[in-house]
Amino acid sequence: MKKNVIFLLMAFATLNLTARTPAGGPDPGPAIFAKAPTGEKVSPLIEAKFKKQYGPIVNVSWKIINDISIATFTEQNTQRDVFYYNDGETFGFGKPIDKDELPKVVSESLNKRFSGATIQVVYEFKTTDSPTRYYARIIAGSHLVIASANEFGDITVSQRQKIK
Amino acid sequence: MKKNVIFLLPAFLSLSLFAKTTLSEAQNPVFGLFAKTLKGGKVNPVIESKFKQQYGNLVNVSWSIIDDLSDVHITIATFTVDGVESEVYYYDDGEIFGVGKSIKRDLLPENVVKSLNARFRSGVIQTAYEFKERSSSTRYYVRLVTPRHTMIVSANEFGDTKVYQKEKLKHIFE
Repeated sequence: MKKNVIFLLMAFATLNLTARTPAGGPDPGPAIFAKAPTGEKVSPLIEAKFKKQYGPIVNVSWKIINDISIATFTEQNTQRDVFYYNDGETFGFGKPIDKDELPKVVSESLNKRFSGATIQVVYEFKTTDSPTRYYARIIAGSHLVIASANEFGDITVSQRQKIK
Repeated sequence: MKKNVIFLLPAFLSLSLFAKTTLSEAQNPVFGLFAKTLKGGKVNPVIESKFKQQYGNLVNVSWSIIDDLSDVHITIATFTVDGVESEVYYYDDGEIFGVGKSIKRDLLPENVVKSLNARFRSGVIQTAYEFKERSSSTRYYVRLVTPRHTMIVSANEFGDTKVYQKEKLKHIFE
């Protein structure tokens, strides 16, 4: 399944990019799993699909990572991302959310697994064939963890790094 | 896949009759369309303990058990948390099939409303039910009325709509 290849994409792309990385330097996130090509143009097919869905007036910026085109725009003061496959099919939607907005099951599940940890940022990702997943950047003791949980409380840890 | 057999369940459960048929009650005619309510059946202790583990001992829960033509049993726990009535759907082995709740139509995601409006221009959404499943995206089941028909439709946030039941409205002057 093509989606498996880039399932982690949005977690790293967004949790790091929108994570207000304290260092302020270049974001190391996407480099782990993907490279953001420079100078690559978004497929007109995808652009047209986006315009059809969201209107031509929306101010959008594009990234292409591992053949996934990501449209980022602001709607009602909220940053939103739409992820497209090459063929124009929508892979998913995502947006950063406040940690207080996490569904109860998700926050309970994360708190149980990472007790005493601090959730820094959260990203909600909806895709066609699986439940909504919530990616979180968590400080757990001396580690930085990127974990995700779905609405059934199933947790996946995508990255665990010792904080220097 | 066992889930396919009972895919339509939540829609009919909640949209048609807001069923909550308990084991002791008469058979719900809605189930008759796709499934039948088991009478005298007891809730599987595995499921009951799983529910208690998840939601606590103190939750006041009512149970329904339904099956379909292929003998897939689904046990439904209905309970209220923070003033909101929810259902959890379990397979026989205690695995969760999904969780659902009735929602106000104003709370339907924008993409869902757009899809429904595009497909049923003159339709009015009467009731809505949110169903979250382990193996797919959240679906919203709605009971929709057009000038000529009443129907049960579901949509996800990716523009996929499905019609499950369509009935012609009988007007008084007909």
